[in-house]
Amino acid sequence: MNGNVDTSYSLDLDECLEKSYKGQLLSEPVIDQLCFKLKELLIKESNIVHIQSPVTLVGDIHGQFYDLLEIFKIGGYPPNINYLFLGDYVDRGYHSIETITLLIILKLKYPQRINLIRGNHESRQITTNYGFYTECLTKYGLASQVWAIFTDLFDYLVLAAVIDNDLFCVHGGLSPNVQTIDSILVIDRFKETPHDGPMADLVWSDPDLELLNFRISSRGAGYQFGINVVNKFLQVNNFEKIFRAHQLCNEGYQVFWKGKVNTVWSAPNYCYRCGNKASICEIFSSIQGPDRFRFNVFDASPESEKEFMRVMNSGGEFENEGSNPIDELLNLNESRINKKAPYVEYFM
Amino acid sequence: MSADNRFSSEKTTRDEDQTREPIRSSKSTLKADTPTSSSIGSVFVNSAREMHQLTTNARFPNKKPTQSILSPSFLSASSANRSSNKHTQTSSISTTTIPSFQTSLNKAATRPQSTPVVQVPAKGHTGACNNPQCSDCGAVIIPSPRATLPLQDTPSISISDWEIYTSRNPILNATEIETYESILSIPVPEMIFGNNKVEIKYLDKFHINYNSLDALKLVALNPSDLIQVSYANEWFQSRQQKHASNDEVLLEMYRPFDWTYSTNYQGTLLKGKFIRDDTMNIPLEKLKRQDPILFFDDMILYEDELGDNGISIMNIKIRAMHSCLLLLQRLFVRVDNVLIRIYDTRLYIDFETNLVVREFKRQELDYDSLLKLCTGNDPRSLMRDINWCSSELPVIDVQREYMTI
Repeated sequence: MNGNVDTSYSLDLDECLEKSYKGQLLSEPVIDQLCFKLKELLIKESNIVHIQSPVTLVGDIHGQFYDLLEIFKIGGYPPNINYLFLGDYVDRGYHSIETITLLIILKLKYPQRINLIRGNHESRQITTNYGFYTECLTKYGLASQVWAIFTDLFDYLVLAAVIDNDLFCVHGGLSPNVQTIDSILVIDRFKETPHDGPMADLVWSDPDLELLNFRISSRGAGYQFGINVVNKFLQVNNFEKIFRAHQLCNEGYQVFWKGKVNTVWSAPNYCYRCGNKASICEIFSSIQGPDRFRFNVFDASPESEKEFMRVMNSGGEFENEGSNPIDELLNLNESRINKKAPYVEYFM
Repeated sequence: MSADNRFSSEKTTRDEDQTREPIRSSKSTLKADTPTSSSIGSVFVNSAREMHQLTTNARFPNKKPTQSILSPSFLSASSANRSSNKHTQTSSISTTTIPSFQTSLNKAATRPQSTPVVQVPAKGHTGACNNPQCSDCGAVIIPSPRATLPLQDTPSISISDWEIYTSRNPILNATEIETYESILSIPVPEMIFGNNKVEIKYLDKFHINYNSLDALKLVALNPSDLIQVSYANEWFQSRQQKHASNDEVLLEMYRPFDWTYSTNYQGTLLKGKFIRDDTMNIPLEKLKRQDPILFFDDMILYEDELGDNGISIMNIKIRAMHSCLLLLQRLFVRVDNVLIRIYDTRLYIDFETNLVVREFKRQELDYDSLLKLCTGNDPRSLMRDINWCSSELPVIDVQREYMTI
């Protein structure tokens, strides 16, 4: 078990929030209770949440906790700013637990101002393969149940959001099974994301500029969607635009079909090695027209940059390590000095 | 231009350091004579200064470490006190403990051949180079000591007439991706480091280049044995029933390609000709020798998460010593619940005999068979450990070829 895990059982939200902002790990019983309280709240919510602008959209974070703090520095802290997170909070980065814990507490404290959509990584199967499971074991010990607690909570997250009745927000994209948003409302969402069906498509599909309709992806499962599908969906549901996350882009955002579909990506220097920018999308209430929203683009935070150096110096190995950030800073210099080409792995 | 300015400013600070040194040693002499001094123990001031100098010295890679710097009294405070002002004596103790450029050269000199001429950056390097040579061990400093995000590093080195260039850059932007996709006619991997490369040259006789565009050109279009994700059949059948009457959905796969981005790429050979000979082995003994490493770089050419069905990653590593270099380009493909695959290209160049050997090795196993070999509480984490996988996967075939220049 990691020495950085807080041993307090207190369920004082303000106290938890304060610790969580500092990147402290809360004790397992506290996490259990927080998740239970949030499930109580989420079970009452419909599959699609309706919200009013102003609101700031945040795309994939993937455990890059220090970049999440950077987002609040740039976009403003809750509850002063409303946030809609588009999913993929965990996996890949070193701090999935810190990230999801902070978001859970913020949602509990400001339920009307924070909304969390489910991404494809908020699933049991994906998290066992992409790092969150390993991080839970490393930071909380082999006997802990935190992974099960978090992944149970993921089953309750909502699937989509609609802003001001005309902006549709989802993690991945459209589905051939979803012509109107009513077909999203009837999904039984309280389960592990299946491989098949509208629930899977919403978190997995991608737009493709060359396409008109839906196409089955080469890998044998999942869809890509084209302009005709987008036009029809927008028209039938009386929406203006679609905002989604899910796809890495070097510029931090990507605009398809003159803004009918927009990708927001919020993990700068993804996996501490891609060198990409990130963005949040700010949607204003008072302005109409093209200036109604703006992509606020940013780079990796200094803390994440240090982790990037750590990855560089460990020879690109990308595995979770459950040490606290200060230790990591100290280790940094040492690993840099000791940097040597690995002799053993080079040979067959 | 800016690089020149920077180096000159370093020189001036270095001169300042040297002018300060005599004062420092006279103080330490004073301290040794009057050990009962009641003010701030000058021994502390002295060791703090030495510590500071040791630290700052690391920032001036071109500076030859002076003897006085290599005598940190804080490491052997008792001996420093005893020997009082005999600085030469303490320095002889500490040179044995701290590896200097001299000692590493001595180690290298045990080899029969004479040390080749090393030049950093390489002879043909154009533009600024932020990767100087470390004055302590002689290695090129990678990543650059001034590295900032987004990382753009272009280190290079010449060892006799061999030139090595690498460059590391962020993933491609949207415009670059468009260009790539029009050339390749397949979607590029999610993380495409299209501006990364490794290049090795020998006069006008040998030239090889490793880059992601050429690697992706070899990805199969319309492959006969298209790999599908574990649940593809089940998924596809349910689709067929559902969309039988829906003309919005194209059931055929549009331009099927090998979405695992498996490629037999072994580098783009621009000059030189290899001769196939599977008996040519890469001399392991020579590579296992702990010779000082002059150049080591490690980069990714592309990576894709296969829509969360696994991973495909093409990575390239290179290390060069005085006598030889080894390059390893490794493609690792894991399709969850389907298969694990590793394609390795090793390029060995002997600088002493001008022999070049290239080896291409393919390893593959189905997922379940490999999972059976995994142990521990988190068995799947081993499936992410590429080195472990490479040690367990059976070899399908190996090809070797060579050339002498």
